[in-house]
Amino acid sequence: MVFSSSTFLIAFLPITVLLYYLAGVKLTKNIKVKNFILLIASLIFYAWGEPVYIVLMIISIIFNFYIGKDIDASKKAGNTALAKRSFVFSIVFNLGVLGFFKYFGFLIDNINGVLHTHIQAPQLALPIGISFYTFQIMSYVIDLYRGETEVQERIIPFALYISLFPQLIAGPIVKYKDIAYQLEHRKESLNKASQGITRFVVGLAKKLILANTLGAVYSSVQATPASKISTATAWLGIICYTLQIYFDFSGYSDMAIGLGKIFGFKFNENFNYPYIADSVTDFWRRWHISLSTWFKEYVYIPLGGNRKKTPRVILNLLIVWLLTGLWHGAAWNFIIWGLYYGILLIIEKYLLSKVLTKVPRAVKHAVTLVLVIIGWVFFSAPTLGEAFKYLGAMFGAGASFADAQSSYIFGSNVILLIIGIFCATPLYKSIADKFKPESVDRLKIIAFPILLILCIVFMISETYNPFLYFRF
Amino acid sequence: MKINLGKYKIIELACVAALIVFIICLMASLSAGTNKSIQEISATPVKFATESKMKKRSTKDAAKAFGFNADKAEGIVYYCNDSIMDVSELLIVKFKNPSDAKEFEEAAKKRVENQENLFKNYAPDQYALLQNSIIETDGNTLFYCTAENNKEIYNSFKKGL
Repeated sequence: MVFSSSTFLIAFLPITVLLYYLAGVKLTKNIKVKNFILLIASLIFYAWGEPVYIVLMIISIIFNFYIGKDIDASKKAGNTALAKRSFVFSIVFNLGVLGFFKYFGFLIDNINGVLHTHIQAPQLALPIGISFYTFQIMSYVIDLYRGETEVQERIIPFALYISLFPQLIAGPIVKYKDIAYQLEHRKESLNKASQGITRFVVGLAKKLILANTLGAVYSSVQATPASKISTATAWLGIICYTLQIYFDFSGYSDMAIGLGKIFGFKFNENFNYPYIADSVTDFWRRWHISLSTWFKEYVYIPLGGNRKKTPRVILNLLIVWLLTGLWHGAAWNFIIWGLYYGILLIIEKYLLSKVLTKVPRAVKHAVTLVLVIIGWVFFSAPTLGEAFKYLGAMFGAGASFADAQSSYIFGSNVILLIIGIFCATPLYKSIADKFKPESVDRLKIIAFPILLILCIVFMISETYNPFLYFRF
Repeated sequence: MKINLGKYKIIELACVAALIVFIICLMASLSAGTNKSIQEISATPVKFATESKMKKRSTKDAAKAFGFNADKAEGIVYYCNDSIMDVSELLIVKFKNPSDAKEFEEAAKKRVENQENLFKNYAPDQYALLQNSIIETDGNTLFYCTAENNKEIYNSFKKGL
């Protein structure tokens, strides 16, 4: 089920909110009842699209819940060796499941390609959200093993942590230690719920009005063979994709954060205007923050982080970015995309750090944007070969510099692009700050219902259009 | 404090066993492929296609329209309408190797996407047909159909496997 579908908005969400507030908040005021209602709703939400893979998620929940108890009991008994064994068992299990369902086919395809064999890989569908919930599970087990969080003694809150529907499918990746207290002590309020609804509508508008419309432009460019695309069309197409992926993914995060607030949760922000970054390092502090933080905390720092000698730090960075690329998908273009950022970050850190302090911010910003846009070519292309062909078109190997298609795309989408660029920056916040807060609130009261109506219009006219990050 | 590590281990191992059983069941549910010939598989769907005024096309036409490598197929059946304003078409492919399923499926998806881009703005009825098109792979076969009665055609294909 997707947040922008009528099933979710008209049936699932109102029923869940009603049950939660009636039975959980009003009648019983019992956190156990509230958690139970949310857990059942989350399992239904997942099973709606994945009736088979719900079994896999339940097995993972039970396994990791008891591994947690196992590690805790071993540590309390002073048996660190046993705790370590259970910890390793859990990591092997979780990475094994993720590896089998996400990377096995890719591995076999590559073996077949290199050795010219014909090994048949099972054509398994990727369990939705597996990369997100596996990383959440691992954050719990790792923190528990390190002694950075307490064991969860009850299975319902633990299962809810893994399956909580607002962020189950496409994040943000919530670390257990950040939400442990809220799982058993959260408070809902009218104020929080109203903030949550507003945030949800903003996310919905980003997805339905901006991301889908921009996506349609990029799809039309992508449908043209790379050799027939002019340079201007190629740039326009990828700029549309650059905005589409931001509004699509940050829109989902907004909706997740908003839904969380409705149910009394507070999730950390996942985006902070990434396209205003003035360096690649800065971009990654602003884009998919929960994933970068996860890799930093659970891979980069344990590998030694910045504390080692330069060659080792470079190796650590490359490992982290190779894994980041792989996390996004089992394909060479994602691996190259990850390594591309690894190399850019290394160059920034070791070769350009002094130079960059002297360069005007506008120049740094422009260069960063171009580098990020080039990165999205690898990310959006179906194969690595297609990515290079598209890059060729962007840098003059296409049909011409500009043609009728580029004029048409620009002419018919210039307003959309201006709105997209405006909304991807904090400009509207700066403008709002110039007015009195009461005036802004009054405007919001008028603007949000209009935005919601617009979203409904777009939802009705659009067909099934899942979020880009669902496939990860 | 008494620790019941044994109980935890039993549950953990039971989960591993359940996971293995789950994967085995999942793999078993994936069809290894049909032994029937492409003519046998496509007989009934083709009947429906001709009733819908679709005409038989060559393997070369299919490869050109879909951009796949026809050498990887054991057999290809491709029907489409004469009119360029009618998007109805039927494609059934039996691959030599089931591992090629993804490649053919991607080609069919790309075809639908390209057709959607072409028809979206000026032929809403044809666009609606494309949006309801069916693309399914089953072991060593691919079924793709865009037609008003595509569900009926698909069901006849499934029965014929």
